Amino acid sequence: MAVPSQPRAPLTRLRPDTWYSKIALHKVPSTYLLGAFFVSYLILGIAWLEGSPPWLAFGLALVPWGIIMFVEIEWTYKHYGWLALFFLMAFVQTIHYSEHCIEMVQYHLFHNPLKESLAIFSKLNVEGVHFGGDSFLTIGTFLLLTKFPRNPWLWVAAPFQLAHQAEHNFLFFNYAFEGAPAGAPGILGKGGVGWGGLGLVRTDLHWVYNTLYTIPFVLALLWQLRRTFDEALEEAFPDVPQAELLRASQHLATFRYGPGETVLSPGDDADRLYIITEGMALVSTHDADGNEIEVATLHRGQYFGEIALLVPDAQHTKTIRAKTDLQVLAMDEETFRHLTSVSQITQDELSSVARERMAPPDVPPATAPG
Amino acid sequence: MLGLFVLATSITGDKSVIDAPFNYSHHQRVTGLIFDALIVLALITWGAIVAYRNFGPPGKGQSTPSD
Repeated sequence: MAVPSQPRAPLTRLRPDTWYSKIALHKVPSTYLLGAFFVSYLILGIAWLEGSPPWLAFGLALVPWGIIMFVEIEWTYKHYGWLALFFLMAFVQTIHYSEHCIEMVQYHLFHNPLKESLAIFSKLNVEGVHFGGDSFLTIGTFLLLTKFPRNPWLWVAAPFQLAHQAEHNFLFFNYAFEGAPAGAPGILGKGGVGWGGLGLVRTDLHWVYNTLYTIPFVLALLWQLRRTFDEALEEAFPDVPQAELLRASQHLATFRYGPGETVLSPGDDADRLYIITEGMALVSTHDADGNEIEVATLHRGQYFGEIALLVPDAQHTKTIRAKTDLQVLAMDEETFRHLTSVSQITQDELSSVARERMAPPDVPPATAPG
Repeated sequence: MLGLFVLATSITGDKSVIDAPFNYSHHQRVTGLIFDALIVLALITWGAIVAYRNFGPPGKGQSTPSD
């Protein structure tokens, strides 16, 4: 076992991830954003020179952003589960609500006639698209309610979305199956079937519906961001209560390593537990002749560094390297002690894993050393 | 194809009544509201079940839900 001749400086205090780091780019390199901006402006420029309709120009300009969003949502689903649906709905609603706001500007500020207040994606301004889009948001909202029932803002948003959905159910059914004309007032639009409506023209009414839904939806997303943690944490500690995992997650810091990079070396001071959230790590040691031997590969949901936290004055005895792109959550000693104190099963399991990993080298460890 | 064509007619197109008075027929009102009621009732039931399961009286062995 190699022991450094000079004692290493104490590890700096962890800087926990912020709640809003969850909405940062995780998979797509940030430089791609510049590329997306460039491509989008290029498309808009060419479309303007060619005299293309705005819906086509903006539709094509959105393509790079759609791809980035798709990749990020896929990553989010792997790490934060149903938060991915929140993000997808936020993306859809951003475009949807923007359209309604542009219509309001065209109608009220530019004084365009209602028929010419078309926003950008005028080709999609049809009953079927409105019904389909709102049905997606409604079902999504109720799915989120089912998954996150303690989120108060979802309960505020749901009735407004339900009212909006009721309006589109009526409009769509009559338009598609009963021969009603396009652009009819619906239930609460001016002249609608609900006691003559609220006196608002359809454009205004649907902007109000969207505003009343979007505000609590955004608050619901912010609320949930503060209460969501990487699912790998739960995989690592399945017996710790969710509330404790959430508390612990607020003290964790993310670290990323490229393939071949060393995370821990023998003799390193140890005051952290590392939980793998993405990628694989190689654990290696040296035989009597000094040759490096790989003893284990660790995957998502597995941890290392626990021996040094469980055994007083212990130091790391093995080398841990990233086998692929590796992402880990680092947990400080205080949080580790708290987690083990709230779950005896977890404490026993960690001790058991540590014992296995501390087994003599001639006995192959069942999992991996820490 | 016909359905797609019908659904793809703009609500601000030539035949739109977005800026003109329009009265639904009695038949359109009744059938539209029945269709609406079925969907809205289903969604309200969904919400009620979620609320009951999470905020209703605790069942035997039911644990407190968490996010």
